[in-house]
Formats: sequence, C-alpha cells, structure tokens
Amino acid sequence: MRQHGGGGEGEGSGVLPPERLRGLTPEAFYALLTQLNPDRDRAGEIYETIRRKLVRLFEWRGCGSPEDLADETINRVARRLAEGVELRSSDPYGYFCGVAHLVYKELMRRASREHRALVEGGGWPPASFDDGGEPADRRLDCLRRCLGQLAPEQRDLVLRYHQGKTEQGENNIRHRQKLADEAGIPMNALRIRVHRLRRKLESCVHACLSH
Amino acid sequence: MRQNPADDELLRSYLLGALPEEEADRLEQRLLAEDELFELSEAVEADLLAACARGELAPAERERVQQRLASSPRGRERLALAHALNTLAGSSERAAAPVLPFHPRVATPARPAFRWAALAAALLAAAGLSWYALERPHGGEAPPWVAQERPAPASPRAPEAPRGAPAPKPEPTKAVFQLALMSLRGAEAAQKLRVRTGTDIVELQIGVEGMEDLKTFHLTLRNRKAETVWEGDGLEPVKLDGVRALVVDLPAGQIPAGTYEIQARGLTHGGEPEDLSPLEIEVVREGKS
Repeated sequence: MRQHGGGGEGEGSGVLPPERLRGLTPEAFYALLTQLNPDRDRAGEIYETIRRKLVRLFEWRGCGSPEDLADETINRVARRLAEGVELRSSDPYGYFCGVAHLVYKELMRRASREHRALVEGGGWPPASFDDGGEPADRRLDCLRRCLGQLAPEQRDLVLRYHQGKTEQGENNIRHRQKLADEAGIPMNALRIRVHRLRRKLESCVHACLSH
Repeated sequence: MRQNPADDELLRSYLLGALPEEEADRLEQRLLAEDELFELSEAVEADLLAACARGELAPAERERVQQRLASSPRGRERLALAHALNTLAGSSERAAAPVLPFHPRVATPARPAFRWAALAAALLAAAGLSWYALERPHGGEAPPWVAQERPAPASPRAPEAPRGAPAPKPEPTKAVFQLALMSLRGAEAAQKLRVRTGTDIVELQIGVEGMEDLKTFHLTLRNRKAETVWEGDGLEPVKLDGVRALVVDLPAGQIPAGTYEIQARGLTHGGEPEDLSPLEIEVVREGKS
C-alpha cells in the first residue's frame, strides 16, 4: 500500500501521517482497511476516496477545518470496527455518513455561539475573490501559465464556459446550453467536462502559487 | 448509474444550505456512495462560485456561498480561481489567446473527419433523426475516399465499374458511427445506427474526450436479452482528428437489427475502475437484401 502524506516506516502506523492518527492505534487502522477491502492497495484507495469525500462534505456544510473533521470521523469508525462492529458490505458508506453527522452535530453543540453567529451571518469574514493568501495578479499569471498547458480546445472550452453575458447578449444559461449543443452532450455532461479541466487548473495554480 | 435530471437542482439547494436536515443527510449518503453524483456536486459548486464571483447571485445566495463554500482555505482558493477564470474569460485576452475554435475540424482524406458538431446535433436531436453514417471502402486507396456526412440513404447503390474493365476485387464496406461516452447519463433515446445492406464492417468511434484520467477501457456490447455480443478489454483511446476516441470494428453480421447496450468501464493509471453510463444504440438495417 502506498504511503500517505509524510508517514513513513516507523512513523505512526507506518501508513498515515501522525496528524491524521489522533489516538488511533495501528490495529484499529488496519481493522478499518481490512473491512474496506481484503486487498491492502485497494483498501488504501477506498480509504483515500472516503476521506476526500468527507472533507468535501464538511466543507459544503461550511466547516472551517474539514480535514480535521474527516480524520476524526474516520478514526471513530476505525475504533468501532476494532471493537467488533462490522460494516455492511452492501452499504459501507452509510456508517461513515452516520458518524460524520454525529461529529458535525457535536461540533455545532460545542461551538454553539460561533455557530449562531455563523447562521446569523455575523461571524465569518466575507470571503474575498483575491483571497487564498495570494495577490490577484500572481494568481492570474499562474492561471495563464496553467491554461497554456491545456490543449487549445480544452482551454477554449473552459474560457467560453466562464464567459458571463456574451456579446450577443445571451445569458449564462443559454450560452452554456449552446456550448453543450455544440459539443453534442447534455448540460450536466458539459459541466462535468469543464469541472475536470478546472480541477486540473486548480492543482496547477495551487502548485504554481506555492513556488 | 443513471442520474436523475433533478439532481442538479437538489445539489444546488444542498450546497446553498437550503435543504431540510433529513434530506441533506440522505443526499450526503448518496454523495459518499455515488461517484458520479459527487462529481456533479463539485461541478455545481464550481458553477455557484463562478456565479458568485460574477455577481450573478441574489444577495442571500451570495452570502450563503461565501459562508458555506468559501469558508475553508481551499474554498477561498476555489472562489479566487473562479474569479480569475471569469476575468480571463471576459477579457480581451481570450480573443488574443492562441486558441483554436471549439469544434470545426477539417476533413482529411485518410480518415473520416470527426465532426463533433454533427455528433452534437445527432446526440441532442429528437428521436427519429438518424446518426450520421460515413461509409467508405475499407483501405482508403484509389479512388480517394471523400468524406461525406449524410444521413444514410434508404437504398444505397454501389459505384459502377467502367464497362469493359476487369471488375476490381470489392473492398469490404465499412460504416462508421461516432458516439460519445459520458460519465453521466446521455441522451435518453437509443441512438439509431442505420446500417445499409451490404455493409461488411461496422466501426464504432466512441469519443472519450475529457476522460484523460482513464487510460484503458473495457467495453461490453449486449443485446436486448442481455447476451454479450462482443467484449473488448484493455482498449486504449487513439487520437482521431485530435479527439480521444476508442475505435471498435465489428463484423456487421454480428449485430443484426435490434437494440443494444454498450456498457463501459474506464481504468485509471492506478487501475481504479470507473463505471461509465451505458450507451443505448439501435441498429436499423436499411436497403433491400
């Protein structure tokens, strides 16, 4: 199984970086992997997929530290499995989801004041478009460079997709429907296609900004 | 897996925090279990961020996007990226950038031109509009094949040999059909493949553009009785006129008139399989036998 993050041999479980362990024993972690899939490599991939999805679910719920909450969820599941709980093979994700909801509800209870402020719209600083800790000019330069790495058709698709009102005065929805018609695919398939390209750009810009 | 057309609206409500708690819980269970729905959710999120950055959302929605989707460091980065993309897309740089037109492609004499615009029309057209068939003698030698894009006529006529000349050995006739695989459910109606009588080989060119992370594909063609008619493993896409596509040649006799389903699975470089939405096709035989 591949190493995750900076976790090397002799470090934590030998698989996970210590910050993801949070009191989890290697036995509990291996119990989790075994229930995810008997093949260790495949289990590792499933683990990473579940973690990535949990991070996004917590993000979509407006949590500021989604990675921590995802790790907490997985670690709780792993501990329960080590205690003898078995995942239903027909729906192994249901258990993770249930635990994630508990973690989220606990977070809300613990931080009820902050959460009230969040709900009332007073607690979070408004996100700025130039946020992300980098000046907008630098981000634009990186984006230009990353767009240059795409195939011309892909670059054109992404840019056309992000056009607001066109010169012909078409609104965004009509404009995208036209793009979907041109490509011969339904609107949602176009969305996915653009999203995959955008994901590449996101990684590229992230890497560019960290240099 | 087949997508419910209402999923995008449901996801939008979820991402804006407008779903009742129980419904949000149920949706999250689906998001964990269904990769395609999860990917669609990320795409809808990105659209919301882009709309927010363009100032297209109502104030309440804008506030929710900022509070929910842009509250983490990565969320703020995504919002900033959306803003940057909007800036470049709306600026004169787009016009100046060395980009190629989105779809027009030039036909080459060696291969049928990939006309994705035509494919678009066929994909989205109402039931009854046929697929565009490109027929040519196999081999491509003289007489030079001329790309013709037309609905297959009802009664094809083979070109006549000049009088007195020895009859050349007939080349096998190939009918080429262009389809596209998608990670989401495509057109609802089965796509019609009109195969003329006398066709020897049916070539399916199946576009897999936008799936660069999938290195090889496994395709299974099943008839209405769910019997496997043909199966191919480890299929690698080739570039056809700049478009990534799988090319499958089938003996025409192997696929009599009827409805078929092409089931597809892609494999990432790491070997992780991804199920793609099946394609439904209807083979229609045309012309007198």
